[in-house]
Amino acid sequence: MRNLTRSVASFSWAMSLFGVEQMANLLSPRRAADAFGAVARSTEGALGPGLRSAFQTGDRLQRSMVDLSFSLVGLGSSANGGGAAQTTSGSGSTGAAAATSGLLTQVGNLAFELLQLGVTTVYWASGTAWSQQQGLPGWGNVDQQPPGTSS
Amino acid sequence: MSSALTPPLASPPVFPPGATPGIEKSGEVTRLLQAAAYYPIFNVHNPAIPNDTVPLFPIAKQTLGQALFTAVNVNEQLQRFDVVTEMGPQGLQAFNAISSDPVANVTIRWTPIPDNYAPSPGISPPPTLLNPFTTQRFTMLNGQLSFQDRRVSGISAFGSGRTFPIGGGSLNIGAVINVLQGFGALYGLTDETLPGATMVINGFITPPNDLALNLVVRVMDPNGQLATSTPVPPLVKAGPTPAGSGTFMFFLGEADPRRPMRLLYSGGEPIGAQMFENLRLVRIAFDKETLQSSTQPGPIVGTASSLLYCSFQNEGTVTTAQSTGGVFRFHDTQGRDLGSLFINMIEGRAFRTLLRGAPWPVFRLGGFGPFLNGTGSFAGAAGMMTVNGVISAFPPTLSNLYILRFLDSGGRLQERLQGTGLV
Repeated sequence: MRNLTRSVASFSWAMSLFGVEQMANLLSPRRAADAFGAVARSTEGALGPGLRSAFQTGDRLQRSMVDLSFSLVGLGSSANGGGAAQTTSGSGSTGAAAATSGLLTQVGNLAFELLQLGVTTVYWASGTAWSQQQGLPGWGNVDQQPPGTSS
Repeated sequence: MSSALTPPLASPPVFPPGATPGIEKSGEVTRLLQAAAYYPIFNVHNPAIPNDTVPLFPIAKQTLGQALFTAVNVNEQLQRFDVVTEMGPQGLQAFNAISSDPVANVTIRWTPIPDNYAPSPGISPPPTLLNPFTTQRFTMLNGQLSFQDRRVSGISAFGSGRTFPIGGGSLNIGAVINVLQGFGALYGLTDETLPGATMVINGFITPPNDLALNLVVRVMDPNGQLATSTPVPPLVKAGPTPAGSGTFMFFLGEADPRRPMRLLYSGGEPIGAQMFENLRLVRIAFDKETLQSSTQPGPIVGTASSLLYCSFQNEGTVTTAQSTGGVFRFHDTQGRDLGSLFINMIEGRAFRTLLRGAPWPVFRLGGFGPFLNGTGSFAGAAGMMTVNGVISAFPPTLSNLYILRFLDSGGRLQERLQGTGLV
């Protein structure tokens, strides 16, 4: 019990200082994004298989919504988006067509993410998620950042 | 000869940075790595044999089931694929053709998976909708490839890959597959006679039925039991690849003697390698009746360099691999620069493989990545690279087959390359 109390206190204190640091990092948003991403990935790693699946689905949905919101206010698509919405630097009409296509892609993506959220919720609520077996680690996702290349 | 009788050690000890154990066997290991049988295959959908989707809503299979599904039970016929890449007077030229008759059949359960899920043979992944609007991982379960040869040979396999949306509901795909077992002429996979085989896929799909995929199976064949004594002749009855397939070129990567591969270390352990390769033209083919394979290397027409990240110390059978800083540079027969392609292997797998005659296990390598950019003749080039090869860390050497698929939907690249004869 003592260890649990100590750990909860450490966690709260770490989160407080982390928040302060990221406020300072707002002047360099890339750094703040990396820091938040690292904490999110670490937290995700501590989740069990069932909740991890729910986290990933919700996370993708939130990202889709953010991408769509930014596109609607004309701030462009995400750098690591779907790939179908590639921007061009051609004529005005080509640029407009690309923007429309990009917007449609993001709307479509959001619709699929919403459906996937429903599927995952049923999967989670039915209890199947808790017995989901993981396979061989070598077949897991390939890190976006190779070891030793972090800035 | 005595080294060939020495079984490889199960796992290399940790060597300090700069150590070069096994370097005296570099030539022999290189020869063993290069000894491979290749099976280049092409998959064009036959409308007479529809694939079976696993719909999200079974009650509306004929309507929503074609758009909302969590898997496709694939049942396809495969053709032999002939790729001739040449250096003409104007530059690189490629000729692609597929056999008019099928040479094999494939059945797999093609299943999208969540990003951070690790799939495995025999385990059903969490239900995941195929989303045509974003890049997505997938796994291939219950894979069976059956050749229509005299001995009814075949393989069972398992793998994973990734989709890359290209608009119009179509998806480029790249995939890496590990061969689990062989039958008929391929019996012996995966023991000492045929220590291992890897398959890579490069192409596009428009779910659930339309597709055009290149598959290349590479079987390690240290004893040459699958090698022909004479080159397999070109296809007699051949047709073109379907529209939208792109233009494929094959190149054989080999260690550059002037710039040896250098291992990368972190925490005292080898985590990858700085790779330098010479790229040769190559023609690979197989006899559909005997499955004997021939490899005809041509002249060196370029170089490839990258930083490969792959834990050579990992004792698991399969480990992830990826590369950064990938540059493919090509030159003509007079040494004139044709331009460069920038491609990273964004996703790959290395399969630890025991190879008799090699002092330590080697790593079969399969991977893929989209073209990032290009210069010279390759400025604006779009496409996908797959690699199917094998790497040894101790001694450092390699043999890789690179498959470059050039896309040119707008015709601009083709126009620009007319002068160099690239397409």
